[in-house]
Parts: sequence; structure tokens; C-alpha cells
Amino acid sequence: MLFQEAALLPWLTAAGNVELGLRLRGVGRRERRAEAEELLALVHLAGMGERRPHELSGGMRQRVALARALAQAPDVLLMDEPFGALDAMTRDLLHDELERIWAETGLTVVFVTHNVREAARLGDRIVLLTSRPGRVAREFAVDLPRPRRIESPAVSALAGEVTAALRQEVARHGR
Amino acid sequence: MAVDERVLQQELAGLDALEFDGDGAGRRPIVGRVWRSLWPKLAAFALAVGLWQLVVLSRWKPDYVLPAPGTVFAELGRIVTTATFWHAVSVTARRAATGYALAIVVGGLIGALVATIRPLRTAVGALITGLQTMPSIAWFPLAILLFKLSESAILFVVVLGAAPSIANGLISGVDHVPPILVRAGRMLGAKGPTLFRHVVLPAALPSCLAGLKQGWAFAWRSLMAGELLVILGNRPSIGGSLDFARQLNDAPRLLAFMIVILTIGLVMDVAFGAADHRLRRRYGLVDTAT
Repeated sequence: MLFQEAALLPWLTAAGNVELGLRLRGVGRRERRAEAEELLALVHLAGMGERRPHELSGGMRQRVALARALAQAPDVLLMDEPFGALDAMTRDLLHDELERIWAETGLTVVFVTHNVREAARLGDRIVLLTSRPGRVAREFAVDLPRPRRIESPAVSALAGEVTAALRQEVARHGR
Repeated sequence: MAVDERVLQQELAGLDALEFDGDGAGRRPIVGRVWRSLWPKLAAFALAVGLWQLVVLSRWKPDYVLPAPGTVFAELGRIVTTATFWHAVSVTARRAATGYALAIVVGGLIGALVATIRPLRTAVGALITGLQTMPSIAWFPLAILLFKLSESAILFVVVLGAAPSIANGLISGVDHVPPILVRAGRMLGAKGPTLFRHVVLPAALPSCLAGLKQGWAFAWRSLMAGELLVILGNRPSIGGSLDFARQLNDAPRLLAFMIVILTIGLVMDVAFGAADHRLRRRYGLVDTAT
């Protein structure tokens, strides 16, 4: 599970945060170190393990949080607007990064976002939810080829379609 | 494969490098840093001694009551070469260490229990703060009744003086743990004592340290009060020496011992300050740009 904030423990190093995830899963002391290193390498943070969260940028922190979430060896990764607080450039790169990690690990990712383009850029399926109660309003199957670019016309067109449906949904609440 | 792996790696590395503006670079050399923090203190010291000398020169009090700084520092220089002085310092230090250690155990235990058990909080939370405002010297009559004139009487009051602050520091630390960190800990599968040990306690540490520092100040005050009141014949102590100097009307000696007490207090304060700074630095609570 990933939050909007990285929510790293500030007294632990990047590696320490990942290792805590492993430890609470019951991984032995010796394997922890090696596995944490591997996970950090997976999110392109090899050699940054000794830094503390406050010595990392927002994008790097979010990647450490991703490594920590992966340390739990989950079947499903739930990401709650994880890139919402990042600048556009970092966010684009992290989309590529997430797509790569998703391809490498074969994890199922549930990605919550208010950014429709982000959904079109990343998803295989886009599920539009109603607000209170949160029911499925519509579902879009995305069959655009990967790799995708967020600025590509196909992604934009799909985003337009989803946005129209989203607006309808929002307007319904205004009545 | 999604995006070209190599390009992505380069882009990420580039962004990471750009987001960093030289970490730790530009730390001043140690001599410069020490001097920068030292000279205002030295200046303040010189000013205080200067004022003292002025008061003496104004002949406000005869100099057998208020001696000049020079006389007092000469007396101080003489005292610190005597074995009795170091015996007194060691007795006082042992009392301080024992009392403070006991207070940490008692305060820590009470703090941890009160912070985590809600009914207990409602029952005694306010009481702890109340105890903190109780002047420790007011405990001495009871302590002397309970323990007679003994080491235990002194320890009793030192512990009662310091433990509430230590407990309060822990409690407020636990109260102010950012909820997002608790959520993160739960998400990682920690709960109960595991959550307390891996998340809550480390997160509360800066506040704990503040409590420890305040607790020390209370312990030291209580100890000095105790040594003035509870004087054990065969054991010289700093507080006892102070009282002894007053009985002998030996003003230079009295002031010299006051300087000793003040110095010990300052040294401990500096030590706590350094520990606090290190901790805050580690937790990223210090603006490293300055």
C-alpha cells in the first residue's frame, strides 16, 4: 500500500525502512540486507540506502516507499494517489518506472487517482467510481499498446472519453 | 519491455542529481564552529564577572560578605586541588546518577503505561502534571519522616522531582506521533507492542529527550536542596559543603561552591543540548542549510 505521502520513518535510513518491511514479514536478519539492496536497486536507488528520508527528494522518497511496499511481498499493490504531490516531470518518469516494475514483478496494481490522464497512461482497466456510496459507475477497458506516453494522442483521446463520463458523474451531484 | 531501460535510468539519475543541492557540503571546520558557539558564552561570562566586580567596588556590602571575583576564583582554584572536594563531588555525582537513573526507570514505566492505557490516562494524567508543579523541597519533611536523615530520603525526593517530567515527556511524545507514521507501521503489519517499539517509541524520542532534560534539571535542584537539608556527617557533598561554608561565614568558599554547582548544571545542559541536536539532525528536524 502506498499513500500520497511517502510516510517513511524519518529515523531510519532508506534501507532501514525497506528492511523494517521485510522484518515485519519475518525475513531473517541476514537475508534482509541483501533483499533490501535488491529492492532499492529495483526502484533505481542502488547506493542510496544509507540516506535518511530528509536527504532524499520527493520522487526518491516515493520510490523508497514503493520498495518498502514491495518488501511485503504483496499480491496486490494498492496505490492511493501516490504521485499526487510530485512535480510533473518526476511524475512522468515515475509512470515509466512503475510500468517497468509492474512488468518485471507481474503484480496487480490498484491505482487510485483523480488525474484521468494518469489513469489512461497506466491502466489496463479504468474504473470510474461514484461518490458516497462508492459504487462502480463505469468501466473502461484500455487496449492501447505499451509503452505509452502521457502526451500521446491515443492516451489523450481515452482521457477525454473518461473525463466526459467523470463530469457527468460530478454533475449528477450538483442536482 | 516498456520504456528503454537505459534511458529511464539515466533520466531518473539526472533528476535525482538535480534535486540535490550539495548535501553536507560547506560544513565549517570544527575550530570555527566551536569558536562561533563559544565566544558569546565567554563574553557573557566576562560581563557577569565585570558586573560582580563593579558591585564589589561600589562597597554595597563589606568584602567579607561579598568578596571580589578574584578572591573567589583563587579560593576555587585552591579547593579543586583538595581531596575532600573530589570526595564531595563523587558523593554528589553518585547520588545524582542513582537518583536520575531510578527516575528514568520509574518515569519511563509510568509514562509508557499512562500513554498507552486510556483509563489510566484519565485517572492519573493530570496528577502527573500536578506532581511536576510541586516544589521538590516540599517533599523533604515527609521524606525525612519516612526515611530519617539518610541517603534514601535524598533519593526519594530526587526521584519524585524528576520522574513526572520524564513521564510527561514520554506521554506527550506518544501523543504527538504523526498519524501517518502509525498508518505506515500498521500497513507494514506492525501492531500492539511491535508497533510501539518500531514506530511509536522512536517517533516519540525527541520529546522524550526534552522530558529527560527537564527531568535532569529537577533532579539536580532536588539533590542540591536535599544536600542542604539532609547532611550526613561522614559524607561530604557539594550541597553540604555549601551549608558548611555558610556556617563558617566563609563567603569566598560559599561562592566558589556555588560556581561549582552552576558549572555542573551548565555542563549537563550542554551535553543534553548536543544530544538533542544530534537527534534532531538525524530525524531531519534541523534546517541543514543554515
